[in-house]
Amino acid sequence: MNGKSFFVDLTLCTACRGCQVACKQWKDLPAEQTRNVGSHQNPQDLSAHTLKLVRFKEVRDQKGKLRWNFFPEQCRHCIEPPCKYMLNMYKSNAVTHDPVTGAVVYNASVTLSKSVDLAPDQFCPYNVPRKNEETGQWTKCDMCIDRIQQGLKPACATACPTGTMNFGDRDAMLEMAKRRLEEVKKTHPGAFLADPEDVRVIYLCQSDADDYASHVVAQAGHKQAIFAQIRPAEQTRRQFLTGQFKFGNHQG
Amino acid sequence: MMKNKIYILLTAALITLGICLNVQADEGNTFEAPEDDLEINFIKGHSNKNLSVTFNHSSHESFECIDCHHKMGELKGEAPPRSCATCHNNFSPDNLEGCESYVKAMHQISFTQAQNRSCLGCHTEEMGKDDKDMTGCNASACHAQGIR
Repeated sequence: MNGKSFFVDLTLCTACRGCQVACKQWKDLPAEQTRNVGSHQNPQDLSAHTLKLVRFKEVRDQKGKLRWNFFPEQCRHCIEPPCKYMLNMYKSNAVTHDPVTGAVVYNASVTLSKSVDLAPDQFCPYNVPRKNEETGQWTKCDMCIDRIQQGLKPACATACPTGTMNFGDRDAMLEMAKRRLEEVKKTHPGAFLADPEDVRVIYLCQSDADDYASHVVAQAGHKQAIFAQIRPAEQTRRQFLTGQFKFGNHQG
Repeated sequence: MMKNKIYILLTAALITLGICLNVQADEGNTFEAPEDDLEINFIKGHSNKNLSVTFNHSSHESFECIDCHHKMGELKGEAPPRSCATCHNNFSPDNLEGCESYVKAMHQISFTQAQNRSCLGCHTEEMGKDDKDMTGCNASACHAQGIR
């Protein structure tokens, strides 16, 4: 039994946010109060009400050419889920690992004690789970396990119009990922798959993981290896804007 | 005469101090800690992943043995501290009930008690929960190779 997997081809993502909206719609989650901070990314982070988020990042390649990267972030459904081991210590059955699909599911009816004060980084290598401050419930993507059990694809994979989000049997997805990687490598030699052996959401990046977001891959070693070739530190428009105008805590 | 008295007193004081120090050394442990790069690898997950942690006693030198080897007192200093796995002998990451759970013994953070004995509990207490290197999950100082 190899379960299910996603293959997310970041080279095709146009940041239409169809997946982000479809997720909200299927999960019946409320909108969030957001503000313009100089980026098209909206909202700025995952939350108990935003389980899927397309992150935007501007980077320059070695020739100095600007590239706008999009990273549809969600729970990776780890093969070896640390969040399950960690959260279940505080309450049995808070997290279950579905034996058929491999989905890591947070049990909505189990709430941890209010005194349990954890940070996402303490139990998730990808910094994905978020706490609903009202209920104390930890939340994240559940692979739309209700849809899968009815023979449907997850909402995000169904909504994607570009072929970025693919969903199916793990073996088929791994095969698709490897085939596509070979192709992309012809034009982008630095392309790689993010932790394909460890997770069920396999991202194909065409350049360094840091060009996309902060938690694309889990291991630190990988980042260092690629970072050996340092590129000129150019300020992106977003960095420029956020550096110039500090939002939030206005003082005086 | 005065000079002699001072010398005698000083010598006596030094001898007493020496005895005191000796007694303290006897009461404190004289056990050799295991060599560094101790690989702790009890937990078997659902994959072939290596979930081990490499532990160095030397980097925890500022703590007393008994801070972690909390059952040491029962041995009355006559035997060296035992491995955590002697008592915490349930190595399943799925069954986390009871104090036998090894995963729990290393990771549970006590939010109500003052004292934290687990690895993560003590790290969180010392370093704060946002220090990814010391309290983080993967790519942290503990699970450098990762658990995923």
